[in-house]
Amino acid sequence: MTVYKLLVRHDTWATDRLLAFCEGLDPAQRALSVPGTYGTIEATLQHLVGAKERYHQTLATAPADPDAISESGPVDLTVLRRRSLALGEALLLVADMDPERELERRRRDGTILTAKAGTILAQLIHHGNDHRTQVETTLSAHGITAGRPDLDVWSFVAAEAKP
Amino acid sequence: MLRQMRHDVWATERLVAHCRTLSADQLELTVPGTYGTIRGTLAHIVSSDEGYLTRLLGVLLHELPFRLDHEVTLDEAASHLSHVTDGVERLFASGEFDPDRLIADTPLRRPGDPRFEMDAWAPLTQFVHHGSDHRAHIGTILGAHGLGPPDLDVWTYAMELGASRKADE
Repeated sequence: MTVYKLLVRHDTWATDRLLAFCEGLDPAQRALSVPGTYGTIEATLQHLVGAKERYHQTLATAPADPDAISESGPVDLTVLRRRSLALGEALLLVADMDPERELERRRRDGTILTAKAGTILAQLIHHGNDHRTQVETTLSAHGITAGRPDLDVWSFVAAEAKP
Repeated sequence: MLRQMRHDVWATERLVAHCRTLSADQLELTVPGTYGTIRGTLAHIVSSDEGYLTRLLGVLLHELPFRLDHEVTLDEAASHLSHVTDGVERLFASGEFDPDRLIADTPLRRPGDPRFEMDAWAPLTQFVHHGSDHRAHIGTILGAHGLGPPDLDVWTYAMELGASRKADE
């Protein structure tokens, strides 16, 4: 398996573990935030998966999916989790595309930028790590640590090694 | 993959440059839920980067490994960024990177430390995860204290390189 496929698999795995943990929080806990982060736990997770929709759409040069996560609608972590796993599978199909291929991506403000496929993949990985860390910071800052999963690559390796 | 790692080094360099504008007291700021102070977190990022690259390359990047066994200043951490840059380029200098190559040990292992074997993709992927993870901590600290974190995402990096541009409608 190529390194990019492994990066995508780690991203999908880590996001799923975090979503699974946050599913077990009560609504007040999911509404927690810390200054300096993106926003509430729920909003950050929605943004994380919503952005992944856009990265995938650009990489796959696909039209908008009717099941795509909207960042402006209500948040359902079970739906987010299901969608995140589906996107993870779909991203594996494009993870090995020519990194030099020029693609057009539409930003949330409607402007269109060109970017190489490798740039979009790199941003996808960076973006996931960045926002998962913000959620973890929020959880820790509010003392929600019991049972919280480790999301680093060492834990991913250990999970992969389990029969 | 080289592009991803170059972004990582660029982001750390950019963050260090931003932190050079802070006062000594500001470098000691933190917020609950993060790794620690801004200064300590930057030192941890750079020291870990060297650790991952040493394991991947199988040789020390320089004599006297950069360990966090003393109070590390921002200048000292920053002085090691050139070793990280060099290590990243050396890793890919021969062409393709074999993610399934077994790495049996690291030259940084001290007598009595346990030995870990791992496929090469693991420390490579962890390098990327670890940098983003801890830079996000510093971004949170800066934001929480109104110190305006710099943009460190790949879009900003790509725009700087001219690898992403506004398209004609």
